[in-house]
Amino acid sequence: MKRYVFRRLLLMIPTFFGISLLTFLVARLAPGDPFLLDLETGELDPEAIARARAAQGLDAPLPLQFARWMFHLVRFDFGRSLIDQRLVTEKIFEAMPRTALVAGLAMILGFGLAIPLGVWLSTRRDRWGRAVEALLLTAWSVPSFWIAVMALMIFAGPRFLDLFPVQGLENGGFVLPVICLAFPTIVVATRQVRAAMEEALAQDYVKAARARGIPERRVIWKHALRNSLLPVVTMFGLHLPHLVGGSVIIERIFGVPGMGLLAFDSIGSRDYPTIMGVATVMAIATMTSMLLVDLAYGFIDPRIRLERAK
Amino acid sequence: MRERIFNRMGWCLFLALVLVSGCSCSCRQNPAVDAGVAGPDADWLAGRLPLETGTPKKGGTLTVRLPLEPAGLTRLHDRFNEGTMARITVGPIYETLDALSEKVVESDDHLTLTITLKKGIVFHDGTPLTSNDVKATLGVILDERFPTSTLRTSLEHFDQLQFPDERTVIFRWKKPYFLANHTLLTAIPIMPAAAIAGPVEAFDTLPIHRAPIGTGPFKFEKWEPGVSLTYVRADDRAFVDKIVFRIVKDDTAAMTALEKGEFDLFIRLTPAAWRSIESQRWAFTGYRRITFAENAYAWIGFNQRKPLFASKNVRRALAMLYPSETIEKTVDLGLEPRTSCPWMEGTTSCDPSVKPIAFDPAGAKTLLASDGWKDSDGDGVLDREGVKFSFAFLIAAQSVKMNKLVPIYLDTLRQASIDARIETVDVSAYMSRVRAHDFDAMALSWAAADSLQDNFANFHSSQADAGNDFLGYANPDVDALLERIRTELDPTARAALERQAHKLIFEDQAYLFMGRRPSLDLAKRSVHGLVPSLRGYDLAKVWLAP
Repeated sequence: MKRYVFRRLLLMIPTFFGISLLTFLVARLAPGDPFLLDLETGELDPEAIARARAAQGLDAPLPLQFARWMFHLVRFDFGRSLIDQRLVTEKIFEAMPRTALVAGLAMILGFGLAIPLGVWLSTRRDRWGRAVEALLLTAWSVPSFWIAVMALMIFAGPRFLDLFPVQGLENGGFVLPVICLAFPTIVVATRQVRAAMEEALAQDYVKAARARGIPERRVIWKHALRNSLLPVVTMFGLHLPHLVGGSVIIERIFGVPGMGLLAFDSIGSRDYPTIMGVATVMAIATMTSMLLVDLAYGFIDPRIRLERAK
Repeated sequence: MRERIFNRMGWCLFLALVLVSGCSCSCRQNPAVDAGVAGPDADWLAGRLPLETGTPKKGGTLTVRLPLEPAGLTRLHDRFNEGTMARITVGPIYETLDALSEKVVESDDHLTLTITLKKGIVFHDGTPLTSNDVKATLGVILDERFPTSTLRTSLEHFDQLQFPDERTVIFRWKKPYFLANHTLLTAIPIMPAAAIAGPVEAFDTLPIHRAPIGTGPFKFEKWEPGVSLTYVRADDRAFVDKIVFRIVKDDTAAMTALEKGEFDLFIRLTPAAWRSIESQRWAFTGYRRITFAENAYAWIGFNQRKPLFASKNVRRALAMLYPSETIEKTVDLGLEPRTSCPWMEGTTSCDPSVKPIAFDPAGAKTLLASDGWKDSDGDGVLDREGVKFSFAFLIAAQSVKMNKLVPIYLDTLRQASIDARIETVDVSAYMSRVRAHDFDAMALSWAAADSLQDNFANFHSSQADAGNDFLGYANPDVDALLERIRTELDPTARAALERQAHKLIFEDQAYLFMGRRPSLDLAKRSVHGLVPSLRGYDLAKVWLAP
């Protein structure tokens, strides 16, 4: 097991290098220039722009700039934003807790509802089951910005319920972004759990458990559910990077200055150090979550553990 | 039977969703709104502020919406110097020399300006203002090693500075320039010398860029990134105790917060929002609508470096194909009157005899034909000497207005057998391509925070390479006029030159001038003392009373 983890950790190094290189190239080769953005500033002094570029090291050849970036990264130095001159790490640490709070609560709510709902759906073949399924499918096809705007108008607007603040996380303001962010998770995870449960309930060991007279509730929740959790764990792992990645639409509409907005704004303004900083954090989060998922497989399914041991 | 009930329930649920999503009725009224109130009066609809009659009172918090978060809070640094930031710092926090001076004496040749600073002015950190602070501020601007070129270009004819004593500053210019003294007195915020001292390398990260220290009626309290900026009253010059600038980027969220009464002052509504609130009781009972002319206009530009647009007949024909009435109705919603002038409309700088070109497809066809553009091969596209009249219109994906306007315009162009297509890029790529002159046609807006303006950078041929003459417009007569305007210090004589330049620029169709954007603002009825100006409201004069 230790060897497996060590090997996976080693593999993360070239993967991370590849992601960094790709992000660097995409950011730098995309059209646009952070120093030519603001036309309001009036007359541009080409020499002043050249000096500003040089001061940020952007006049060097791209390979050298990438090498410098990697060198600084080793010391956890993401540099300074080209836009507001603040440290990128400071900006990330400011935004990340907000995103983690909203995304974390959304994951808890999403999976917390999806698992029992999926189990319930797998046992209900009647109209109510089909109706909930249809509702989930309808909800899945609705764009998330529409859901967010509707939630804002209905639950925060003065014409309807006016229960929550329009912007920010204080005074219960986190409720609406959490619900909106949890929405797609609920829909997709519910369908995953339902499908996996239906497959598990058709297995011989479930039939055997029922034949032995084990109560139906125990058969479903202990025997079948445990074997249906693998796809949910995969999905949970895929959602983990959202804890640091955030959602642009939800964060913008509900005024949560989190990682999604930080990434969006930095891409729009070609703020290369911030783009790279956010991408790095995202890459590390994604690789770590994938490793955690792989490890979790082993705990949930002994067959995988045995396979790795071989 | 059960199935039918079930189906009906499903339809009811669906209808409820649709109704909720489309409902614009006041299912629950804003508590601030009184029942039985008549519709908006003429002043409200026209956006006119009533005369103030009450006595100003001290106290309260003024909450203002900010649609964008400034990158920094200083005009000195090139990276932070933009309109929104200037409006919220210069005045409330920073003061310029016109406010800090007791006496300003201009020499007869207009080349020397002697300023005597007021006594007893102190910065918010407690240090007294002296001529040394003026020296330090101007030193940073004039030193080419610092990223302060935006302000430096406005002081290009600066010759020397003298500081005979702690309260006197003498400026000397090399040659006359009509904006020199005006810019010096009204555009440069004076900062404490100690706060901006230090090596060039440290300038980008000076704390004062994010925590300004000025001499204005408000002092900076805190900045919560992405959330708000807070100022508190510094002394008796201001009435409100606190100003909170709330950063709300999303327009829908901002309008919902406005309806809830969360903003006292909402600057720059979109035309659609401005029109939509006309039928909303919460708006006309709880708020005052304010509109006034700004020095801002939108224009379409054709790249005159390209042979296709080199002829002014072609540019005039393209202007004749601009469906101004349709666009005014459907895009501008009757809020942006058409202009023909690159100076502030209604001032003596614009020639009133120059009128915008009317929509005239037949006239455009004739004009194009006179220039040799005909559909000689019958493929539905005009051509001349084997070259098709075909071009791409570059628009920024984020521009809501252009994404509505350009398809309407291109439709009329296509009907006139011009093959015009849209090329959409993100705003960063858009700016880069405009600066690199890599486009056929594009659109932009110019805005100035002053009625005095120098159009040299926009229309002089010397600015075609690195300046704001992105279209490559060149006319020696206009060049000569723009040069004379710069050195003409008599306002009447200068206005006469500006009118001549206006006429020539319009005749050349340097730009296809579109509409003039007015300011569209809302203020709660409890907000008093608002005086509209091109530099924004003087927040020190604002007071609150229920």
